[in-house]
Amino acid sequence: MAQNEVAFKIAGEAGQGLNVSTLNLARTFTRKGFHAFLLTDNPNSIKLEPTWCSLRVSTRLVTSQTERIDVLVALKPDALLRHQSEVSEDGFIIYDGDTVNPEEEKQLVKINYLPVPLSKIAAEIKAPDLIRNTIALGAFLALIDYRPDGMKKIIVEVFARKGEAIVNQNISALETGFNFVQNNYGTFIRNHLPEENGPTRLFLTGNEALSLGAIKAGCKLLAAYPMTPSSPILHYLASKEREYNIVVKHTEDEIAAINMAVGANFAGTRAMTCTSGGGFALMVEALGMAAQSETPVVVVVGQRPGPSTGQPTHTGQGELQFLISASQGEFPRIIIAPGDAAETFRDTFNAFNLAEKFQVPVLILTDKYLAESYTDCSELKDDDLKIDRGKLLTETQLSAEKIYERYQITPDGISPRSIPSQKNGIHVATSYEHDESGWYQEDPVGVKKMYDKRFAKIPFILKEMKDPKLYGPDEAQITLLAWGSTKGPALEALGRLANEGITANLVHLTYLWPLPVETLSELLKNAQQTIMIEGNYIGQLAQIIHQATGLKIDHILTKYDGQPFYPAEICAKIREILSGVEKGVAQG
Amino acid sequence: MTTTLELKTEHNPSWCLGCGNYGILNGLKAAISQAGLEPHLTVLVSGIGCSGKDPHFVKTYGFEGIHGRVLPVATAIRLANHRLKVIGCSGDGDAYGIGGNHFLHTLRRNVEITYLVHDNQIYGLTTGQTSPTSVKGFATKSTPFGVIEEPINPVSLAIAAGATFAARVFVGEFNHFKQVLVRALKHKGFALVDILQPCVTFNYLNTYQWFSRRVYKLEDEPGYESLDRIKAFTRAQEWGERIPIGVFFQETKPTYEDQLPQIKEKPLAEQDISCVNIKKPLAEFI
Repeated sequence: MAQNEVAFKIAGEAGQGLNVSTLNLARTFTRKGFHAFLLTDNPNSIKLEPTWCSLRVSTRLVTSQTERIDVLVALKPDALLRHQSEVSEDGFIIYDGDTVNPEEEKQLVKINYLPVPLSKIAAEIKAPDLIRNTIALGAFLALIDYRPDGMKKIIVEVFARKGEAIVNQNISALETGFNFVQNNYGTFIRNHLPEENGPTRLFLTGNEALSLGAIKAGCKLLAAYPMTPSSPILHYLASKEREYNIVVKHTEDEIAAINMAVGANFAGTRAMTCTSGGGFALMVEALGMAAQSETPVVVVVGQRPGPSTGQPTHTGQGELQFLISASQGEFPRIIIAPGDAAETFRDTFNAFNLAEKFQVPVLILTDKYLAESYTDCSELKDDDLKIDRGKLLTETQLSAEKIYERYQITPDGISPRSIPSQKNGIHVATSYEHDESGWYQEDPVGVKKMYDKRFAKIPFILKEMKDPKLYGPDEAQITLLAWGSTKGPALEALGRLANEGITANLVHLTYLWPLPVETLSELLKNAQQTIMIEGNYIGQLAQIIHQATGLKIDHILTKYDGQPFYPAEICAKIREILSGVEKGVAQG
Repeated sequence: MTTTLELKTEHNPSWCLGCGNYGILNGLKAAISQAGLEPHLTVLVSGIGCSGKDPHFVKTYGFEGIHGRVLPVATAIRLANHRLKVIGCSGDGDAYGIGGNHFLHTLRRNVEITYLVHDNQIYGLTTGQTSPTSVKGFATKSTPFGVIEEPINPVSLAIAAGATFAARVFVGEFNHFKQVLVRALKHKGFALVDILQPCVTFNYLNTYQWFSRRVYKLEDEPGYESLDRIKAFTRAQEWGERIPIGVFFQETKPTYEDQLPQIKEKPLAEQDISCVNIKKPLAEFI
């Protein structure tokens, strides 16, 4: 086990409260200034299916999960067998000695198996079996020699609403687990983390950061139909709807959801919808309606693997090409795929500004990995965020206009906008091709003018897009490319490669569409070798870059098994390429 | 008060000569005027079909969306700014076919929308196919051997789904239609007005004459009161030699908007978003 870092995993079955207890454990550390990364594994079931939750705590910045576990808590026999091979040398398995009896012949050498009578302790303190995870957390804290005081405080806060009895039961469970290890496994106890590592850090998911960004942006209406992994946005904003005067509507379907988001924007209210690929498939027609009527709208698409129902609770990056071409006809749209929680917060805020400024649909592309994993940050800086409603006219401006035309042709393609209730701004917004006034347009010359007008926005949009960002040295043996949530594992891989003496850098794209062709070409101009890392089968972004720039990405690492990238996979691939073993090249 | 002349736009409709839509448009403008609605505070939302063109001919705000999605757009406009009067314009296909799911759920929400369904029992703009209200046996381009299924009865459906205002009118009874429309516009809640409107080009069966011989006004029925949901449902089932028109059912109930404390003081669209403070929720992530 390494110093200054601990990787923890708790494995059992759905319904055992693994995620909640691991989150409590995580906050014990982030409150003391540690960095942390929490990854959930949600089976497509509410109860019984095998599942786990992992937590990595470190004194230095960590941007992804690791493959290695220092301490595994196994609440079920199959959990022990399933995960013991992930435990690092000299690592530990804490398991319920009452219910789990690891078969000797299947045990791995160099791992310490530490039975703790979790069920017996639960019975002794007259608590339900569910409390075993709290006992195990106590045992874990004792093992790494970390004071349980912070965890106790969290238990008091979290369980307060369930009453004093429950609070006391959990405190007692934590203490008993802690004492058991102290009394029985004293020789294994070793200090791995300092007591403190700096000021308190925020610890939140991508979905939570996104919701906060939307609140900050003045999103006043969310219309959505539940769909993993975006439902937590619906839940979070619903919980805040009265505090922030947000109307949250759980609609009859996704078609209603996006039509409501567009309707509210038409009426002058910032609104969004959130879904996943399947729900977005239903929204596609109305996406075009927003574009044709030039009504702003923000749509969040949280990716999970398809096709069809696919793997509802897992992760992937398979929707990029779908989003780029979704809906009939052609129209400008903006696609943003933030790389971490802090980016998600700011990019979501910006999405609302861009939607109103350019009067185009803005799609925020997340995935289960980003949406539901927890990461830490020192703060979500928001004092520099300014609302920009673009060419939204005031009553005074409108009364100065002789004739108001909603789709007036302008050099930047953006027409001044009025909203219902404004006296001189009466107009019809329409899904049909139209003239400047909004009336039907079938004259070929007029049709072309209006099409050109909408596309005239593109260069102006590009000016406001965040450039792809270069991480690592300017010159490197190999340049990694990644988009969205793959940023975390890719950054982790850069660090590891550097330790091995391999110089690698990363070009990470957040603002994906319109594709920032110029900056991308500039960044890749001097790259010795390039490799795209993306969570889909065909290498979607690699293909797009090839199409748009003629640049062929040299290598490709794809993943489409429902799991996020692990840094070790990326490192292995790069070692392979640099040693000349690698054969596969981009399919672009 | 805005006059019907002031509500006229620079564009003229090009519906078929004799189309019921002309009567509906005139009735709508007259009712808007009579109900005292202000054009800048009124929004017409339409879908696709001959009815979808209505917003272009009435000088109010308009949103001409896609097929079947009038109600979610209209609902959101009300939620965004409940100072606006929102009128939905659909056809029978738009409302009861492709938009059927939204119809059902908007009824139970009781959002204040006046919903005018131009019900000609046929798809007109797509040149004559069967609609959800086409009668059984009706031969069309898509059902040359006659419709097999039973038609939807919009008024009974609405009453069963919790409508707080359910009416049927016949565009050939213009004054009656206008009166019911004014009542619908004044209703505090969702108001369905199913408008029987002959399609002179494609519906050879349900003609002006066909309706004129059959319709009778509920107001003329001694003892009929639009206060009883069960009686209203029974009456709405009547369709054949006699077809009742008028307000079948009306009740007062809080609207969806009434029950949102978020918009009690100000509509969403008027709320200040320039500097939202998120310090408090941020503290929950420690």
